[in-house]
Amino acid sequence: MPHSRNKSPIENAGKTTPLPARAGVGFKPEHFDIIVSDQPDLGWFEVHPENYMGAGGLPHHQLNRIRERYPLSLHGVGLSIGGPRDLDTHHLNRFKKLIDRYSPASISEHLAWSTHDDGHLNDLLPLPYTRETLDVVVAHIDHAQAIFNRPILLENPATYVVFETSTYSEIDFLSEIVARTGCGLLLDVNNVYVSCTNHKRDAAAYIEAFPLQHVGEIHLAGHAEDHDDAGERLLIDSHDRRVIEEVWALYAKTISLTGPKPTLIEWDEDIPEFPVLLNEARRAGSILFDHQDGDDSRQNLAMSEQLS
Amino acid sequence: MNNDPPKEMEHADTDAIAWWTDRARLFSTALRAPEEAVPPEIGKTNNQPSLKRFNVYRNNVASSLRSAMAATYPVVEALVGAEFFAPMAQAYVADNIPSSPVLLEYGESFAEFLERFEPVRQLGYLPDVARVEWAFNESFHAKDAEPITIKALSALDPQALEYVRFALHPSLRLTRSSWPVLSIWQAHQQDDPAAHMEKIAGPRQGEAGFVVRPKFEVTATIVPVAAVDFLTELSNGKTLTQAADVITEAEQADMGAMLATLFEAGLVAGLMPLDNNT
Amino acid sequence: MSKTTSALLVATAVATAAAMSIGVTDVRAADKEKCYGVSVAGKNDCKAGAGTTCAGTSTVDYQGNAWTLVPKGTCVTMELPEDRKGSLAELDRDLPKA
Repeated sequence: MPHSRNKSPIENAGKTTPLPARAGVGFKPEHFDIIVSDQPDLGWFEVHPENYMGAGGLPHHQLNRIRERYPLSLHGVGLSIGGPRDLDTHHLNRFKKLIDRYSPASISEHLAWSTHDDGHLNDLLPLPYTRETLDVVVAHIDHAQAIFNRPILLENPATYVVFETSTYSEIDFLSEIVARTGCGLLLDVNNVYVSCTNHKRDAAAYIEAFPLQHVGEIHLAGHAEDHDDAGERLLIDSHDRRVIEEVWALYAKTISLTGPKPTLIEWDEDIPEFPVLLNEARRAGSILFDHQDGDDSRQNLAMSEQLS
Repeated sequence: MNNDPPKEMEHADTDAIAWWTDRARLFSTALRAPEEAVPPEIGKTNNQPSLKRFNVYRNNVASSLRSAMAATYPVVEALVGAEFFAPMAQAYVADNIPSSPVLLEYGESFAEFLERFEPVRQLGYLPDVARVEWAFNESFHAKDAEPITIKALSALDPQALEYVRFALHPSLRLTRSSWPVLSIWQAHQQDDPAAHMEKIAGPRQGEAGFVVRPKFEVTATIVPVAAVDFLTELSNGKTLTQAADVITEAEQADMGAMLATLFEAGLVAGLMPLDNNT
Repeated sequence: MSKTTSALLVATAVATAAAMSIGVTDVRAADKEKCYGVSVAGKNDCKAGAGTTCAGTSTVDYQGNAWTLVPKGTCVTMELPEDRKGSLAELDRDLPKA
C-alpha cells in the first residue's frame, strides 16, 4: 500500500505483532525472580533500551527470559529527538541492534531533548513549539524511522515551563508531526495531568482535543507535588508512587474515547514489591475491560477472569 | 531499504536548525550554571521568571547523574557515607557531563577525579577502589563467552602446549594497587562491611588480582602479583611459554597452582594452539 | 627477562593444574544455571528528580559541602595511615560497634 503510508502507519506496521490492548509494567531487574517464578498474567513489559546497550551479561539474559514469555516495548530516553543536533547515529544503530535482537512490539521515544554541545544532560528537556523546531523534530523522526524501518510512537512530555516563543499548541505540534512523519503517539495521561496543572490548562479538554486515533500506547504513573515561586501548584513527574485518583479518572475518560489501548504502569523510583505494581496494572486492566469492544474483547476477558 | 519505501525523508533547513541551536544552547548553558538567570523565553508566573520551575530541570540533571554515580560506585559511597558521597559526586557531575546517553558508560574518569579531590586526600585508596568498581561495571556488561576448563589445555600435545596462546574472557579486568582494594571491595559484598573492613590487614598492604564474569556474576579474586604479570603477557598475545618467562623461577615452581586458580575463576575463554605468527 | 622457560616446565605445570582441578570444574558446571548473580539496576529512566529544592540546584553549595563534611562511612573502621589516625578515632565513638 505505497500511497497510504502517510496516513495510518501504525496499522500498517507489517510483520511485527502490535502490543496487546492490555496492561503492562516497566520491567525492573529486582522483580526478575518473581516474574520468572510466578509468570504473572500481564499483557507486556517495557524497558529503556539504553539500559541494554551493554554487550552481554545479566541484563540481556533477563530481558531474553522476559521476552520469551511476554511482548516487549522499547521506550527510548536518549535519542534527543527534539534537540537541534542531528541524531547520534551510533546511538541509533545500537537501538536498531536491540530491535533486531528482541523484536519489540512497540518502539517509542519522547518529544524532548537532552544534548548540550557534545554532551548529554540526561533529562527530558522541553522545547518551544515553532515552525523551526517542528522541522527539526520531523527530520529526526524520519531519520529514526528510516534506520529502524518501522514507525515509532512519540510521547507527550511532562513540562514545568512554557516558552513565550511557542506558536503552536502542544496538540497542534504533535498532530503536525504525525501528519508529516507517519509516526504514532504515546499518550502519557499522567504527563497530561502534570503539564495541564502546571500550566493551568484543562486536562480533560486536552484529552478531548488530542489526536486519539494515532495513540498506540498509554502511560500512567505517580507524581510528586510542589509549589513554584509564586506559590502555584507545581507537579513533578517523579514515577515514585501510585497513580492518583484524578489521573485514573482521566485515564478512564481516555479509554472511553479510544477503546482499549496498551497501557503501562511506570514506577522508577522507590520501586515497590512486585505485587503492588501488579495491583496498579490490574486496576488499569479492569478499566480496559469496562470499555472493551470489538476485537479486543477476548484479551480483556482473560484479564477479567484473572481479576475475579 | 525495501521495495515499498516510506515517504521521502524531510531535512530541516539550516535556518530552522540555527534558530533552535542558539536557543537550545541558551537553555542548556543556564541549566548547567545554577547562578545564571532563567533563559529569557521561559514563561513567567505573575510577571516573574519562574526560577523554581526552571530549577526542576537543573535538579533532574544533577540528581539523575548523581544517582547513576552512586549506582556505579556503591563501595566508594559506602566508604565515605552517602551524606559525603552526594556532594562529591555532584562536584564530579558538574565538571563531567556524559558523552553518551547510555548511563552504564558514564563515570569512567571518577578515579582520576578522586585523585585530585582534596577532601578525600587522606583516603589514599579511594581512587583505586573506584577503579575496581569501574572494572566491575565493565565486566558486568562485557560480551558473553563460555569459559573453558583446564582439560582443554592438558589435552594439547607437548609441542602445541609450547606455542599455545590464550583467548582471555572478555569480562576479565586485571588490577594492581598499592592498597588492599580488592579486600575492601570484597568486604562490601558482605552483610556487615564495617566488620569485614576491620579485618583488613592495613591500608598500606598492596594487592593484585582480577575481576571476571564467567556467566552472570562478577567475582573479584586476589592473586600474587606474578599471576597478574603472567595474565598481562597472555592478554598481550604472548604464548604460554613466553608469559611464563616474566615470572621468577620460584613463582614458576607454583605455576601449576596458578593455572588451576585462573581456570577455576573462568577467565580463559579459548585456546589458540596453532598461530601463524609463532 | 633473560631466562627462557623450558617447554618441560610448562608441560609439568599444566599437568599439575589439571590434577589439582579434578572435580572442581564439575561443581561450576552444576552451579551455572542457578547462579544469576547480583542484579544491577538500569541507570537510564524517564522519571523526574525529587523536586525543586533538592540538591543540584546549587553546585557551589555542593562543592562547599564536600569541603566541610568529613567522610564517615565504612572507611572509618579501617586504620588510616599516619597523621589522620587521631581525627578518625574521634569519629569512631559515634559509630555503633560491630
